[in-house]
This record gives sequence, C-alpha cells and structure tokens, in this order.
Amino acid sequence: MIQTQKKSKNDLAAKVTGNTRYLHDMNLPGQLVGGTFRSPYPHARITRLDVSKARAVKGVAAVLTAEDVPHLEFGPTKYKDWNILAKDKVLFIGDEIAVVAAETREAVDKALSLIEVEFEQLPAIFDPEDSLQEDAVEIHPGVERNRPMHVLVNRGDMDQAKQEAHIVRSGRYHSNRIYQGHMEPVGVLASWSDEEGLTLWAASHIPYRARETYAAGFGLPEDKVRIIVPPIGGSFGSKYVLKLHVTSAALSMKTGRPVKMILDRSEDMLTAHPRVPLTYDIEIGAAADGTFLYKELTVYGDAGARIYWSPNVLATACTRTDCIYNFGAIKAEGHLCYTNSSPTTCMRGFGNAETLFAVESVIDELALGLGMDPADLRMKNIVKQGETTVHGYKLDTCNLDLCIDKAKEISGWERRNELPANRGLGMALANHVSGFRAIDPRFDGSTAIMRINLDGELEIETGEIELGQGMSVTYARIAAQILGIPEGGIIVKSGDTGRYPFGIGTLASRSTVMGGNAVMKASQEMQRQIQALATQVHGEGAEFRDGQVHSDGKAFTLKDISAWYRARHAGEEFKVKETYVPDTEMPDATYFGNPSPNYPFAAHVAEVEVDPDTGRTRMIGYWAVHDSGTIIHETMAKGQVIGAVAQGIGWVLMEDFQVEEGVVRNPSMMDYRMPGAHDIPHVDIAFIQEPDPNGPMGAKSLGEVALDPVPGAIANAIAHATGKRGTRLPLSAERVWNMLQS
Amino acid sequence: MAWLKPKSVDEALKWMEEYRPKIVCGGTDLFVDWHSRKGLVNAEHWLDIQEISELKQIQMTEEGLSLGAAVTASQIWQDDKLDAFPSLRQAARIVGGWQVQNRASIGGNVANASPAADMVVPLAAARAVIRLSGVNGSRSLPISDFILGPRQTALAPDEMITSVLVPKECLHVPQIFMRHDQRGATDISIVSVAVIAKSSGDQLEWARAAVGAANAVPVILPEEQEALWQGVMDEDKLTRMSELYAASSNPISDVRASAEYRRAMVKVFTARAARQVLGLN
Repeated sequence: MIQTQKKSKNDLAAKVTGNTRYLHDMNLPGQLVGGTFRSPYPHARITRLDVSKARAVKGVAAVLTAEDVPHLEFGPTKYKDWNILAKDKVLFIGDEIAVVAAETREAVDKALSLIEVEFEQLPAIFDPEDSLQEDAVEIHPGVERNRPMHVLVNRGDMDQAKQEAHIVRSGRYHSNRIYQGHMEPVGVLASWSDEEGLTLWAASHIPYRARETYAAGFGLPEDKVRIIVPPIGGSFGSKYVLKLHVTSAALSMKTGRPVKMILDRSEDMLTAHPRVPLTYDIEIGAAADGTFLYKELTVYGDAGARIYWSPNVLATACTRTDCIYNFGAIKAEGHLCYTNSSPTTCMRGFGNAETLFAVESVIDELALGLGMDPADLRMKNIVKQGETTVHGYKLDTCNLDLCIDKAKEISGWERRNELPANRGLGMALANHVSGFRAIDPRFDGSTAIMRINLDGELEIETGEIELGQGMSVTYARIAAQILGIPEGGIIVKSGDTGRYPFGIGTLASRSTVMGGNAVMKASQEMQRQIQALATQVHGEGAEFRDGQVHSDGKAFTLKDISAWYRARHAGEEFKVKETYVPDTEMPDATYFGNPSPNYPFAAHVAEVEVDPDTGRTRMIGYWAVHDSGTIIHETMAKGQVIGAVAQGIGWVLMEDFQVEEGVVRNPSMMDYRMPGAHDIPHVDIAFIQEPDPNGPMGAKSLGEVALDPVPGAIANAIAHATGKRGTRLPLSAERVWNMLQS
Repeated sequence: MAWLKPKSVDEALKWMEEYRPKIVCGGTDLFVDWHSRKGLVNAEHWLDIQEISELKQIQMTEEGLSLGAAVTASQIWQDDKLDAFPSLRQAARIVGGWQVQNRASIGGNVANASPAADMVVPLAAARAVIRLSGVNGSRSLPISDFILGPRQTALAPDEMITSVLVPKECLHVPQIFMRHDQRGATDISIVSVAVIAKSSGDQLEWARAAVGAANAVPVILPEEQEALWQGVMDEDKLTRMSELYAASSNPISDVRASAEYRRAMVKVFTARAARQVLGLN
C-alpha cells in the first residue's frame, strides 16, 4: 500500500538527515554531460582553433566554439563585457574557448583532449596598479587605463582637517584573494525546448538578475528563460550569475537535450571568482583628545578580466565605513582595475569587511599613539541613534555604544593590560545595510504571496532565496506570530522564476528585512481578509484569533476558512499578494543617499595567543555583540554569527589563493586551508534588541555584519599580543613569524 | 583490470609474479585525488593486501615491536602494545582524519615515501627496519636505505613490504612526536619531528631524532653528530643540536611554507621536542 510520508515543512530536518536533493541528485531523461575547454594562458590571441576531431568522437553530441554562439553585449551589471565563448582573445587562465556535450564523461574528456588550438601569447597584467600604467597592455578595447570604474568621494574641508590634526596614522593594507568555500561546487542542469524556452536548474540566489542576463546573452525574451533554484549547498557570494549556466544553456539549445555540468573541486577552484582583492592606502588624523578629523583612502580593486560584482564591492569599500565613525573630512578614491586574473566577485562582507580590516587597524594604531584605550577611542567617534551619516544613512536605531559596553563586559576587556605574555585582546566595530537601494536602480523591495491551500495549510511564496541562512524559518515565524498559527505548519516556497513572485534576491543582507517586510504585510492582509470573511460567513460576532475563527462557541480551522473562500470564489484558492517598497533614497553620483531601510551594528572582541617561535595564532576566545534590532529566530541568528566568526578566522589566519602569473597554485581543499572545529573558540554572543521601525517585527540584518568586524578584531588582537602590526591578509603563521623577525 | 585480494603472503607473491599488479592497502594516497595521481601510477591490475591477516598483526618479539604492513593508523593508536612506542602512536593519531586513519596502513605510508609522511618520522628516529618479501626470498633494510627520495623507495618490482620492526632499544624509552601545521585538524605537516632519548640521572645516554617534511627523505644525523646528544643537556646544547638538524635539512618552498620558514621551524621543533622528552621545561 502506498503511504505518503508526513515531512517537516521546513528544510532543516531534511538537511540534517541527508535527504535534501541538491543539483547533483537531479537528472533528466536523455541528459548529456558537459565539459569546458579553457584557456591555459592569462592573455593570448587564438590563432587557430580546430574542433573537428573532437566532434568526431563517438558519443559527442556537440562541440561549440565562438562561431556557434551569439555575440551580444551582456553582463550582470551595467558593464557589459561578457561573452559566451572567447572569439579571438582569451583574457585569463580558465577563460572558456569551447564546450562539449556528450553521452558520457569519458567522451567529454576525450573530445576536450582532441581540441586543437594555437595561441599567440600577449603580455599579461596581474597587479591592479600595473594595469593603470599608461604603457600597460589593453585588456578590453577602449577601456582607458584598464579602469572601468573610478570612484571619487569628497566631503568636508580636507586641507583644514590635515592642518588641525594632532596625530596621524597611515599605512598600506592588503586584503587577499579568498575562496567563498561553498561546499557544493558550481553546477547547472540546462534544458531547452522550442515551446518552453530555456529552463535552468541552477543554484543562484539572484535568479531574476541571472534570468535577465542570460536572456540578453542569447537575445531571448526574458520570459523564455526560467531558473529553478534547487537547495543551495553554500554560496557566501559565489553563486550569483555564472558563465557555466550560459555555456550549458548553449549546449542544450544546440543539441535539444538536457545538459548537466558540475565542476569538480579542482575546476571550481581553478576557475573560481574569489573575493575582490583590495589594496588600501589609508590615513586617519585625530585631535589630541582623540576626535577624528579626517580619513583619506585610496583603494585599488582587482576586478580580474571581466566584471562580475567588483564595481559594487569597490563603491562599498570607498564609503561604508564612514557610516560607523564620524571621521570629519572624507576623501576616497577607488580604482577598479582589469587584470588577467579570473574575474573576482562578491563574498560575504562585500568590501566592508576588507576596509574595516584597514580602518580598525589604523584606529588601534591611533589609540596606541594617543595612549588611549582603543575601546574609548572608538566610543568617542562612533555614529549615534538619530543621526544622518556623512553619506546620508539615516540611523533610526543605532545601539553601537551599547554594543561596545556589552562587548567590554562579556569579554573582560579590563584584563587587557594584564594579559599573560603573547596574549592579545582586540576590538573592532562594524555596520552594514539591510538591502541596498543601488543594487537595481529601477526598483527595490520584495513581494510575498500568502495562500491557504485546499488542505488548510498556509503557504508563503517569495522571490527571495533560501541559501541556508534561515530565511524560510524566519518568514514562517513572522507569519506564525501575526496569524497565531504554529510555524511548523507553514510552508515557505521560493526559487523558481516561472512560478513565484519577482525578487531582487538574497544579497546585501536583504532577505530578512525586505522579504520579511513583504511577509509581514501579507500576513496582516491575510489576517484582515480572514476576519472579513468570517464576518461575512458567521456574522459580526465571529472573530479570527490564534489561527482559528471563533463563533458561537465553535472554532473553525484554516481548512474550513479555505472552503468558505472557495465556495464564494469559483473554487479559487484563498490568496493575498503584498509588496513592500522600502522608503529609501538612491545614492546620488557623489554616493550620498539613504540606501537601506535600516542599519545593523556590531562590536566584536577577539582574544589570541601568538606563538613567538612559530608565529602561529591560536584563538583563545571570541565575543560578538550585535544590534540587529529584534532577533526573530535566535537559533538561526546565532548560527549566522558563529559561522561568520569561523569564516573570518579562516580568512585572517590561513585562507589564501596563491596565484602566480594567473595560475592558482593551491586548487584543492588540502592545499587551500580552511579552519576546522579545533580552530574555532567558543563564541559568546549577545544581542542588543531595540526594535527598528523599518524592520519586520523590528528586525535589522545580520548575515554580513557578523563577518565585517572579524578581520579587524583578530588583527588588533595579534598586534596587541606581538607589538607588531600585520598589514597583509592572511596573518598566517609564517607571515607573523616574519613580522616578529624584523 | 584485475582486483586481486590474496589471503596470504604466499598467494600475494604468486599473483604478483603472474599479474605484475600495483600493491594497494588503504588507498588513501593512491586513490584520493586519483585524477592527479593516475598519471603517476600506471597500473593495469591491483593487489589489495587489506585482508592478509598475517600483515595485520602487531607483535612484541625478541628483536622489538613488529608491525605488519597492513596495520592501520587507528590500530596503531588503539593497541596497548604501542605503550612501548608512543611517538608512533602520536603520529598515527594525527595523520589525516578518522576515515583516513581507519584505512591508511603503516606499510603504505612507508612505501608512498612522501616527504611529509607523519608515521615515517618516528620510524626513522628509531632506525626501524623494513622487512620485504619477494618471489626470490626475503630481505630487511634500514628505513634510511629503503626511502630514497620523494615517492622513491628501494622496493623491487616483485617485492612487497611485510612488516616494520622498531628495534627494542627504542621501546619503553622517553620519546615524542610533534608537528607544525596550519590548523587544528586534518592537515599536512609543515615540519614534523620525533625524538627518542635515554637518560640516567642528568646524563643523556643517547638520543635519536628524525625530522620530516623538511627534506627529500627524513633527516637523521650521521652517527658521530648524533652522538653529540650524549652527556649533560642544557639550553646551549639544545640550541647547538637543533641547529645541526636545521643545517642538515634541505626543505622546499611550496604552498604551505617557504624553505626559510621550514628550516627555522626544524630548529624550533627539534628543541621543543627534546625539551619535552627530557623534562627541561
């Protein structure tokens, strides 16, 4: 007898028990396997390309080169520099030249090995500053000085501030090229039919932008592309809009059969789009009492050979930290530079965490110079509730001062001057946004559809994406609290551009506040409509409370309510649709505006012990205090903080793509070291919970602000322990050892 | 392709002559990351020695502690007989993760001849003997004559490792294995060191040490230099000895560390290990 199983409504149990079906587990009848022929050179002209032998391999269904695909202007941002396959020039090691689809992996490998190609190598550039030189080789035709974007920000009287400064600290800081470390490698299953168009099963947490980008690449109407997002096995910024999705689509369009491509770890790392490496020349000046007077910053960003999300990262790097401290006069210049490296992109923290590594380091150097407690120096200069920051951020709530106090309290900050030898305590602060108005200049916000299905279950549909951060359980809790029904019975659905409402996607820490506000509005509307329906059916005395309609001593469930509605609406489901449009201001050409509904803050303290003989840092303790407004789901919120701290520890102490002349030298998890449980201390977490007027239930974001202060806090702890300042990430054992030798 | 699973050494030797297979035990070196290894291991047939019971024995004999070639890392750290040779137990406990430890064999670790091998280092310090069997008979080689270079050994094409013997003078003697790595769990050594020392009163009768991951083969000192351990041990002497080991190392620069750093760490860890063994802290 067939018995249907009652399964948990949220995704957590399936993940824990290994029942989640990821892209790897999905297959379609008649499916082909795909593979990519990539450039072995960082910069070269293709002088000959012959795929005839590859096409003749038994089992090969298609081999595509630039001749077989459209060449339209497209790309995920306003910089449209993508192609589907390289036409006459390759720009980085891994650049796609040809793709193969075949019946078997073996046939793909054989065909790839039979592709004949000759190159004329061109001079290549790997250092962003080299790319700006007048005599540098041109990477993209017509882009002056290889610089697609130049940021200039000026506020206040810099000359006067410099004259008034009593103390100045400066330095050159480097944040490095790191891998997002997604456990599930990049992959896609593409299927084309003339009737349906293109369907992609692909892990993207901004699927609507991906749809728009891919449609443009093939000259298709947007609604001829549908993206279905399977459960995402980790992203941290790596899974936005990806070339592999496009080349698989091309293969499926050519063969008329589904094509699946999944990178193995090595190919995923060799062709990875890492965190944008940023170099900072930074100077901060202060008065004798510690009041900041100015901050001057020049940033060089390594975009790699094409534009993914590096422009947005650079703009963030040039501005965001000015909304934590009142620096006085501000000058920032940002150079986004093309190089012949694999294109770089976003990662959790998005330009803010990197800049804070530099800013928080310099602030500790100022404190040292002034003889001040670094926590006091910070407290003196932070932004406050009710202020509008120098770049226009309106701080309806800001409890950064309370975060500092609490972090001092729980970390035992007063121990700082009495620590044993080789120990250090470091503090760093952070802010972030909860969505960012400039992600899509056309619109912002989110839509939620809420329905009571025929069985009386409550379903929520959203355009935002669950990527393991807990969006679904958060939305369920918001709806449960408003409607008075158990959250376990609420199903949250998302991740299909052909089925669910439009969404900007999960980036810029926007899912809780943007999507959550939409869910809150839909829940309130549903509450109102159920009450109206109850009154219609049972008269004025009927009342909807605790998830049921009460009338004349009887209680009616959602299933009853569903039936009442259908009886009155030609069998249609009971459904409401609500859109949240945030009251934000698009930043102007000078980067002034109020881009987010609200702003989270954090103060972190790290304690380390540095082995003076080896330079190796051991984490002793970690304390994280967050102002993210109301915490909706404390377990998932703490998970975000612990995960971010672990990720930050890896970034600061060990993680590094070692690249020489464009070649990744450590493309394996054995050679690219990430931390394990032994490297993570207990993370003590506290939340300062003042509801924010613009957040759903008072919530602000948490996902990225939890990582932002980690590099600065650990770097400051290491400097405190050793008396030496590390300026280049990672602060690996060997690097710290070298510092101690000098 | 044949996958051969002999039940005895005799059967293994017979099939080796017949099939010329590649010997494999846990496969944790040969089969993990197979894509990058398959070019190096050009084998048509495989001889899996995991089920040869005589190769899975840990025995205390008159000559010393005998470890069968197929003895796994987890067997080593769990067997009471290793109380006599704790430096190997420490190395076995840190090599790979649990899954690797349940499969990786001592014979495989020696035959693989990776410069970064962990379990090889205490064996090198103890001057362990590698016992080999071939179609034409058996022979024994000191480990320093067996491991010739990175992935190079004295193993003849028709030979297999049957056991590893730790000489009895190194049993029940103070000793330690230490390694320097990048993180707290599964990792590859930047530098590893084993020190075994016999003292009476404040006099050191003898000490033996080996350094791993800092040279093509484990570093041991020539007899006359090693003899310098003898006598009273103080900080000066520790410095001199650890400098000797550093000077005898010839490390490479790779993704894990530079040669300069590795050499400095040889000094640090030799001194640390010796200090700990001798209770100098």
